[in-house]
Amino acid sequence: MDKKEIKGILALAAVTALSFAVIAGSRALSLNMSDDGREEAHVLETYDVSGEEQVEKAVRTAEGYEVTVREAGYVSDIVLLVSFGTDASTVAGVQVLEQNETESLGSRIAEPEFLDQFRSASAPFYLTDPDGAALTDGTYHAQGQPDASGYTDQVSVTISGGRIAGVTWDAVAEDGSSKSILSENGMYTMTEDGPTWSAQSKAVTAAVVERQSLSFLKPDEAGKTDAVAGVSISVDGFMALTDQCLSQAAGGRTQVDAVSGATRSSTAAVSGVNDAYDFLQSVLERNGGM
Amino acid sequence: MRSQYPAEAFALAIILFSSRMTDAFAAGVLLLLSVVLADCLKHFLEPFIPARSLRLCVCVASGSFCASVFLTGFAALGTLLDTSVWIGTFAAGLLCARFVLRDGTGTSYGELFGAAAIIWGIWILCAAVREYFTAGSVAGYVLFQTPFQSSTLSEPAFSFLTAGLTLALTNRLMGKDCRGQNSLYAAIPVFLLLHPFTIRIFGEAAGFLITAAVPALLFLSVRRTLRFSCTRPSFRGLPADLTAAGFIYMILSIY
Repeated sequence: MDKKEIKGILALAAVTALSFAVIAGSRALSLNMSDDGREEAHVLETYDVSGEEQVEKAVRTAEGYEVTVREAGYVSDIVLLVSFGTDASTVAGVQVLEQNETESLGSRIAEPEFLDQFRSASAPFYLTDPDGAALTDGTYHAQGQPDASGYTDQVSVTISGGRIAGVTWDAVAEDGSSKSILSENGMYTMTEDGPTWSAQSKAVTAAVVERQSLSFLKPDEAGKTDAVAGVSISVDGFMALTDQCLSQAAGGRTQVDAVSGATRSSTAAVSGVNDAYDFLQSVLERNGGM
Repeated sequence: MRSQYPAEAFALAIILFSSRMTDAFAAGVLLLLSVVLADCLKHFLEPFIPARSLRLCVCVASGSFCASVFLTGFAALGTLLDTSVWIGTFAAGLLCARFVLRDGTGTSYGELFGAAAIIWGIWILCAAVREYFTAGSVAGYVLFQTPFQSSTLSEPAFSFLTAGLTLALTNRLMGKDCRGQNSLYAAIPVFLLLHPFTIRIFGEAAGFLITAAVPALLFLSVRRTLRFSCTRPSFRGLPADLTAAGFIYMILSIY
C-alpha cells in the first residue's frame, strides 16, 4: 500500500467523520430553531403511559401538565405536545412535534393560525362540522356583565339540523330598554349618517350564520373587526357570549375551525388534544385529583 | 449541446421543493451551494488521493453537506424538514457529487451559475403558480381563493410534472438538452420516499416495497418506450421521463 492510498483512506475517514459531525450539528441546530426558544419545563412528576395507544409521555410541571400524543394523520402519524394549565383543562399551548402531511394543506396544522385556537381554551374540543353533526338542536342563551354605560349584552343562538340557524344579539339597559330598539328609534346614536347599532349587530349575526363560525371575525385589541362591512362596534363581547352558546350546544366542548381543505389532518390534531385531555383526567381521577 | 448544470440534482430538488414559492427560492440557493462545495472539495483533494477515494470523499461530503444546509436553512425559515424529505436532500447532494465527478464545472463557473439562474427562475415561477392553484396563495400570502383551486396540485404527481416542465423550458431557453443524464437517479429516491398509494394489508415492510416497486417498474417500462418517441431535443431524456413519472403517479394515486 503506497503513501497515496494511505492518504486516500485517511482523507475518507476524516471526511466521513466530519460529515457525521456536520449532520449531527445541523440536526441539533434545526431542532433548537424549531423549538422557537421554548425552554424545557421543569418536570415534577412523570405519569405511567404504558398501555396507552396514543399517549407517549405525560408529565406534571410547575406550570401545569404536558402530554405528548401520537395520532394517525392523513399521510402519517402526527405527534403533538399539549400543555395544560394547573386546572388540567385549560390548554396553555399545542405544538406539532412531528408531521408529514400534505404540503400547503395538512401541514398547515402546524401553523399558529390553527394552533392558536386551542390556546387559553378549555378542553375538550370539537371541529366545526360542515354537516353540523357536532351541535345539538335547540336555542341557547348567554348574557354578559353590564358595561360602563350600563348595557348588558345578550346573545341567543338557535341550532337547527346541527347548524347555526339564527343568532340574535342585543344589549339591555338597567331599566330594561333594548339598545336595538333605541337605536332604530333614533334614541341611541353613534354617528350622524352611519349604520345604527341595530343594523350593525344584525350584519354581524347574519355573517356568523352565513359562515357557521366565529373565527373569521378576528377582532383587534379594541374588539373591532374588519371582517363585516360597515361594522364599527366592538364584537369581542358578542364573540365570547356566542362561543358560550355554541359550547352549550356542543355539550361543553370548544369549537375549533379546521384548516381549509385538510379536514382529516385537522380532525387528527383535535383528536390528539382530546386524547391528551382524556388521559390527564383519567390520571388525576386515579390519583384522587392532584 | 449538453447541459452544463446538475440537471439530475435540480430535478430531484424540484420534485421535493416545488409546492411553495419560498421553498423553491431557498432550495435553489442551497443546491447551488452544495454543487460549489462538492467542486471545491474535488479540486482540493484531487492532487493528494487516488481517484477511488476522491469519489467516495466527494460523495459523502456533498451528500451530508447538502442534507445539513437544507435542514438548517429550512429550519431558519421556520420549517423542520420531514425525515423523508431530508433523506431526499442527501440524495440530491449525491447527485451534485455525481455531476462534479462526471462532468465537472471546469473553470466555467459563469456558465454553471448562468444555467442555474435560469432553471432557478423557472422553478420559482412554476412553484408560485402551483402554490396559487393549490391554496390561492403565493409565498405564503393568500391572494384570493377560487373554485378551480385544488389540493391535488400539491401531490407528488404534479411535482414530477413541474420538474419535467422546468427542465424542458430551461433546455429550450439555453438551446441545450439532457443527453447523458439518467432520470432513474432523480426518480428512484422519490419512489422510495413519496409513495403514490399505501398498502396496509401485507404489513409495513411489504407494503413499502410494493408501493416503491410498482412505480419504479412502470417508470422503467415507460422509459424504454420513450426512447423511440419523437420529442423536441429540449424535452428528450430527463424532462420527458419525469413528465411520464408524473402521469404514472397520477394514475397510481387513484388507488
